[in-house]
Amino acid sequence: MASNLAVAVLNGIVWGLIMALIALGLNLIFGLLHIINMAHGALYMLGAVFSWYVIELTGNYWLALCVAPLAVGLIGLALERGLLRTIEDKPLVTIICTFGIMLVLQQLALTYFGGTARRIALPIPGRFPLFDLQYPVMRIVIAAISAAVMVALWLFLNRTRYGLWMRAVVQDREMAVALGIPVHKVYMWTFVLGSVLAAFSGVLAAPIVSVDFMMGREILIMAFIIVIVGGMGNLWGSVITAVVISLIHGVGSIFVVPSTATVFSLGFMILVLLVRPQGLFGE
Amino acid sequence: MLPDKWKAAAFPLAFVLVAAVLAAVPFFEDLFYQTFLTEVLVWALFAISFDLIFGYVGLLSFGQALFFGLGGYAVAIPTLKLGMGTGSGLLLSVAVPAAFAAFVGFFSVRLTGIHFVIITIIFALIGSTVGETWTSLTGGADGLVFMPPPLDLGIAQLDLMDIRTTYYLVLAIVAISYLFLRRMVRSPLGKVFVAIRENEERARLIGYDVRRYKLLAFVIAGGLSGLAGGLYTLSLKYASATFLHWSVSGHAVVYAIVGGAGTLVGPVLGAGLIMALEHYLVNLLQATDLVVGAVLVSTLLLAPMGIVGFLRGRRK
Amino acid sequence: MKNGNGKKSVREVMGSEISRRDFIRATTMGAAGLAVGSLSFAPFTYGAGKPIRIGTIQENTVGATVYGYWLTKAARAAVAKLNAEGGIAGRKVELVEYDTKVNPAWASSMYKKLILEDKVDFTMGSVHSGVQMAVFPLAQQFKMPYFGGGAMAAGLTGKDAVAYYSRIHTHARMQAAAGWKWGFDNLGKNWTFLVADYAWGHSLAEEFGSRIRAAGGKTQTILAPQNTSDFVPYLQKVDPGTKVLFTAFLGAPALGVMRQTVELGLHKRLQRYTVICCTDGVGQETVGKESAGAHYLSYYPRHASQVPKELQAYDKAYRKAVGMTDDGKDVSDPKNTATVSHMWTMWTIPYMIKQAVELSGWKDSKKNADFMKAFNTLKVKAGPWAPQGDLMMRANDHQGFHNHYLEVVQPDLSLKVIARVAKEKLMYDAPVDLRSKL
Repeated sequence: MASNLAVAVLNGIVWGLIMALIALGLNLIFGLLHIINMAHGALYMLGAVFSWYVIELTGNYWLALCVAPLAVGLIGLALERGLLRTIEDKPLVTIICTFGIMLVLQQLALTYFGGTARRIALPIPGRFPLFDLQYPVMRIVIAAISAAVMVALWLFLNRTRYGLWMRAVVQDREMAVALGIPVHKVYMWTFVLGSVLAAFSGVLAAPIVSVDFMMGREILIMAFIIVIVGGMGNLWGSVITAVVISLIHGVGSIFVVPSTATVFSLGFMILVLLVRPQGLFGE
Repeated sequence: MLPDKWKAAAFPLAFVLVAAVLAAVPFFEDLFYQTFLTEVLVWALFAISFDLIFGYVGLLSFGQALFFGLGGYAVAIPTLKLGMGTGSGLLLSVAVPAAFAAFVGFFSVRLTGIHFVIITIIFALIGSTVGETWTSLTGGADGLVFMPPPLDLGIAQLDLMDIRTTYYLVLAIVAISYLFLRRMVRSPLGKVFVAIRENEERARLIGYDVRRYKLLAFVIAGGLSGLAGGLYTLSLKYASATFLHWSVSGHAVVYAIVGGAGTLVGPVLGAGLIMALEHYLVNLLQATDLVVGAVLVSTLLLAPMGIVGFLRGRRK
Repeated sequence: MKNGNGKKSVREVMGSEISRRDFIRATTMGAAGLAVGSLSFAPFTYGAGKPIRIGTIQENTVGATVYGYWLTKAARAAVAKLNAEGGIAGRKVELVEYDTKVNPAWASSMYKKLILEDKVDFTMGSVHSGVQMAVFPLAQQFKMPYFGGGAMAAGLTGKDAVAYYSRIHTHARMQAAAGWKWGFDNLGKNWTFLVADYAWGHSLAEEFGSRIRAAGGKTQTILAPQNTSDFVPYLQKVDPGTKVLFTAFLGAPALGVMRQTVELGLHKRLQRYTVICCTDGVGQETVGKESAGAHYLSYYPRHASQVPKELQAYDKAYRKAVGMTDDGKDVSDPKNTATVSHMWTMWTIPYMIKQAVELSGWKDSKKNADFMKAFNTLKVKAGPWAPQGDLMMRANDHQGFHNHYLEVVQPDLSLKVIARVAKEKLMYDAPVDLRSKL
């Protein structure tokens, strides 16, 4: 039992940190652009798919971790400039539009990458004992990288001029315009940053899960749940929620059937939406 | 005066004409077009039921799949497991989803905008999770196969194993549903719906109980989505938990947006055009979703009011 | 063993019980036809009658692409061979193909298209139970013979089976009948089922589990969502006393569960067992070195070297015809692994259609009932058209019986056959009698 619990807790934290990265990207875009990005899961999937190609070519996972998110960032740039810019002020329209983009990206991945799941070898193959079970070292490394990225994001938002601009736009858009902040540029780079975060978590998750063109569909819903429970626009609420939900899920599934757990957590979500639509950590 | 009279006569004329053409199809064409049109009509019904809440009330629901799938099971399970008739199955396919819609709507209409979208997705996800895992009742993702007994109308027995009979049944039900919805959106009730869509705050200040109207629209849309699911299941003789998945709602969204939301005729056109497109494209390339997604996105950017909105705009 | 060698072809056809009639037909059809078959570039002239069209629906996109790719490849190769040998009853054979998108709703549209627009005479294909369930009432409604390509839901030939559907291959109940005893005797008596919380996972856990319990073994069932990406929460629930871990997932999760079992070190204290359906068509190098030591229940050996001696000649010709190497890879792409255990159905069914057409004197759909009667009494002997070995159809439930294999993953990641389960051991009481319904 002790080993079960230890693995469940450790694993809950690891997954929570990966989920937090995905949710942060989604939430960043929502907080600033008010776009619910249904294509976010597809961008996560593209990150993993691109990393698979980079690894096929070079055999280097760490290179893939740098290159794939940048490539997806370019796609994000094109999407924002080419498609979303004109409809940014209509939230419902953007939902439908990003739903269409999701269909297209998934189908493209299917056409070129194929429908079969592929795997990426663990770049760090070791395991360490944990009571009478074992735990892969790589997962700890992945969690550490996620945490580091979150710290970097915090520094970016709080210590750079762009970060300041972004926070200013979130707080009061009109005022930001009046102050001469290039709001459209801020929108653009925020969307790119969100896409990069999605792709980055895709590359991080790739060695744990397998790379598959459908991998973004279920993750998307999980990310929604985290963003809503944590509070839309509240970035640190997302991080806490991601880790807590992941822990509850991990520990809870020792005791109950997963589909029951899923139904209950979805029910909890509905409750949060009704009672505190601003999220548990929202103001 | 004359143009107004003409205008008033235009819809009945067009409706009768289209209905007559559709009713004549079985006499000229072979079975293929009947089965294809049966499918188009069913999805068109699904799309117009979605149009009622999205196009008229302004609520974007990605949860209509829940009612569509439930409508299917409401026909399949009673006939298969309880030996009930097809007629009562069809009534149940309206009643059961409408009851669920009342429950889901009771909570959902308290929310607006994005929160409403998300809560409908969550309800649909609960439905598909339960449907996929409760395999003893639903057959899960494998689904349930059943052979519908003849539909007893009192004056006649309709054999639903016959394609032409099924086609006429679906055509009649969809046409009646269309007229019903058209009558509704043009009634004072429909005007309230539109008022809520245009400005919820103002509608409330005038004295309308906005939530009650929203709930009413949601229940009607749920019942009709269920009817679409019931008819679909009858024509396929198959119900499946995969029909409950929230992404199935995407069909209705795409048809309504591409055809023109808030017009009723638009979603019907959208369903026909997209399905015809898919049907002919499939011989050329397999990636039909690519085209559907691209059509959806470009409609939103180039003709946000859909085909019907675009045509009306040009006429003016 | 080349397809076109006229003399051999005739002899090959003789393998079955109906060989005499076949032989007469084949010879009266004209030696010319058979001889020309070897010259693939030469125009072939067929006997009277318009072509016979076989429609297939396969999983060509979404999730199960590799199944569609290989089942289609096998179907095309079989049709090419049939045509090279003179077609069916002197008529050319054509194949019409559609994708199911692994979506029952879409598949049923395509199936109607096949019947009503393309006017096919026979239909076959798909490995997806949901798709087949959706298509199966249509087959009955249109009295269209339909032959499943690899779907495992027992119910397709269960008590609600329909007369126009036949399945020549195994299903969940037969898999359990074939696989439980060997595992029970050789791997251990204490089992944990970690399966997809899905119709297919449920039925495997139930079919295997009930037999294990009846024999005095212990079972534990852990359900996980079919789309699970992280199995650690479920794997940690595996009972410490478990000796056999039986898993059943499709697609990406099938790879995940295999890898994560090893990541947690569970492989050291228990035996891993699964059905090949989970990773058929996925190269063992993709499943990963973690899969070494895992046991698979399969329906055709992946490697030519593992095929029973008496079948090796047939296997060799079959692999050549469908474009598959001795290691079960695509001849033109060594990264593409074949769905070896499933695709042979698409190779054998066209030949069985030919036999049934010739036995029943089928000319057009008016004789579909007679055709189905003939098809479902076929006993195909091992031969070029049945490289998997003898195959027997049962007329009561339209179910076929064939041999099963147990394969274990070697350290070099090849699959080695360690046992063969004869089809006679898999017989069970037919749950339905369709003979009166045709």
